[in-house]
Amino acid sequence: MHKKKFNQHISRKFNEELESIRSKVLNMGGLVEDMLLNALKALYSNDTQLAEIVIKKDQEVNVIELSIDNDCRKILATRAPAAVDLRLIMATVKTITDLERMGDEAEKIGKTVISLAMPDGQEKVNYHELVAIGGHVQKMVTRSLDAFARFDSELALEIIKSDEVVDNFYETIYRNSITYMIEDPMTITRRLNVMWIARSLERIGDHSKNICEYVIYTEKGTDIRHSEDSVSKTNIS
Amino acid sequence: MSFKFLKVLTTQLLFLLLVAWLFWLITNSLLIAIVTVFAFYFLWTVIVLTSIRESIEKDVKITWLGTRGFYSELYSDIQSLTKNSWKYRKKFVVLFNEVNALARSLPDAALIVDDRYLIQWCNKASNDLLGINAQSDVGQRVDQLVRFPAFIAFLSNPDNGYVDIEDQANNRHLRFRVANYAKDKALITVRNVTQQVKTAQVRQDFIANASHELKTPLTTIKGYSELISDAEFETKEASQIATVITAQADRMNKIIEDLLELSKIESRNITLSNEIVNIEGLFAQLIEGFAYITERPETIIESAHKSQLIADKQLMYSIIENLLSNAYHYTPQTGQVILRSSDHAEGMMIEVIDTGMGIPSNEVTRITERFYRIDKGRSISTGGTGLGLSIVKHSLELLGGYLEIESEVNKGSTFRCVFKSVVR
Repeated sequence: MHKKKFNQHISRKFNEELESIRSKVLNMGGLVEDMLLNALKALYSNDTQLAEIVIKKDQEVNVIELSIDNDCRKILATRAPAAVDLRLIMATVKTITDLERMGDEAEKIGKTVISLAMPDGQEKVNYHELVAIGGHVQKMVTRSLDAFARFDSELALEIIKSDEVVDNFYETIYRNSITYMIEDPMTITRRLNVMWIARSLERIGDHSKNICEYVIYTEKGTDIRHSEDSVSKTNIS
Repeated sequence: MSFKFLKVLTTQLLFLLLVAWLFWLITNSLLIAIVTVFAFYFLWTVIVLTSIRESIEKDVKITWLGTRGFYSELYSDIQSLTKNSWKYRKKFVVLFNEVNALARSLPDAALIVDDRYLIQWCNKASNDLLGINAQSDVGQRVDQLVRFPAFIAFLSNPDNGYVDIEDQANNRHLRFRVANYAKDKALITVRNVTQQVKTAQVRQDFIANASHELKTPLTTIKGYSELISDAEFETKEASQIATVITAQADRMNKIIEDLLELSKIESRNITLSNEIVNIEGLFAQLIEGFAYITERPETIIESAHKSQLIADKQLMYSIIENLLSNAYHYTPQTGQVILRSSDHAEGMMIEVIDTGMGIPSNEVTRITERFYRIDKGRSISTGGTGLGLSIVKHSLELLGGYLEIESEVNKGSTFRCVFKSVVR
């Protein structure tokens, strides 16, 4: 669906209101992308200052969520949207909830970085096993927001399918961690931290997948949630 | 209407009246004569106009129209106008293609947006730098596709300046500029400034490190000088203090000498003597030069080359001396240092291999920067100036060679110097 579909109302003001909501959602998405990137950077480089910045940013995300919620409420009350407009508003309300939770997960990673910070001179904890899953999740978030910006169902479907890769990464980390903990109890603290961060990243991946499902719902009017078959069967072309 | 056209029109009208008069004589009916003649004239007009239209559309010339008559004149004028229009169109197409080719060849991304930030046009580099496609993304809001929070903040208040943003996902730095060139139009350009940012970082680090390296011995000298002026000493104590001051002054002197040498090599303000260098002799001379280090790791010399090297002997000595000095500094006495020369596809290779503490993989690329140290606390304990590897790198470049570094933490390092001027 081309975004022009949202610009074809008789009321120019309505067009502008819808466009403004879309922009706000994507600005919020930009903040969440930034939070995730900084949280991962802070984790890899043991940078507690950067982790603190990530934690503070979550407040900003929450404020934008409330503002978009309010805008959507106003449109529902005053414009009584129908068809694609209604689907867009519903998708927006759900997308911002997912984005807010992604922000919370990034905040959690930031807090873990601070709690694990090593004083200068001590050996730094290396979370190299999280680099692969982190990189993949970060790409998923960026691409899901691109799909939302362009209302690109094909891209959205591709991202939904790629969530399996994140799940596999998570399972591998989980199994490895259990093995390490059984072999050497001294590593339990570190492995638990790795598992928690991996869990947060896996959740962020799931939220990106949800956003893609809303994109398909808005464009095609088909709700593909909770149905693995429909994902493969959806003929998005 | 011009006189020429009036004349043609009058002639045609008179001709039609003449034909009508002749027809009247034949048919004896004025009405039938006029209607028939004008009906034929109308049919003729439709045929001619349709043909002219087809001729313009298909760019085919009408030969049967002749060169005289009202429609012939009209056709000739239309043809001349069409020709001019084609000429201008061709010029416009050439200009348009040139502008497009210019925009395509630009390494910077360029986007034109309106007052609502809707993309009106973008070039090919926009796809490479921002993922914005000229075919599918025209009409989209730029702030929905480029979501850096710093860019969105800058877009609302650009003030015709620029903002540098770190694109962490792609490990690069981008410089965004916004120029408002009309009331409701703005040009956004994006440049990849990763290299400039890195260079600025290296410069900043250099200033900080050079200040630190020079300040450390100066602080010691100042402290001891104050001690001397404040108290009375026995000759022995004074002598010890003088020794420390001399050592620190020597260290400062060495740093400044190395800096001057590096500056000379970097500016290529040095005359090279091209001579055949006897590698084995050079190795022996080097090992003899390090004889003063009594507690050093075992040194093995391996010489398996068949070529002779043509180079500046003094510079070569300095290169290997610096590498050996590092190897001795960072390898425990129980370790091993190998000095090896061998043939290489590009010329000759000299390797200094140690079993020392090694370099972390992320630091290898920065280790040849001036005063760069992996562990900031090492500078005093190891006693080096922090300029050795920088001198090695630039000296090799001056000789037309290059340096390769392989290292693994706690296992050791290999410094490989490749020289190209050889005689086989």
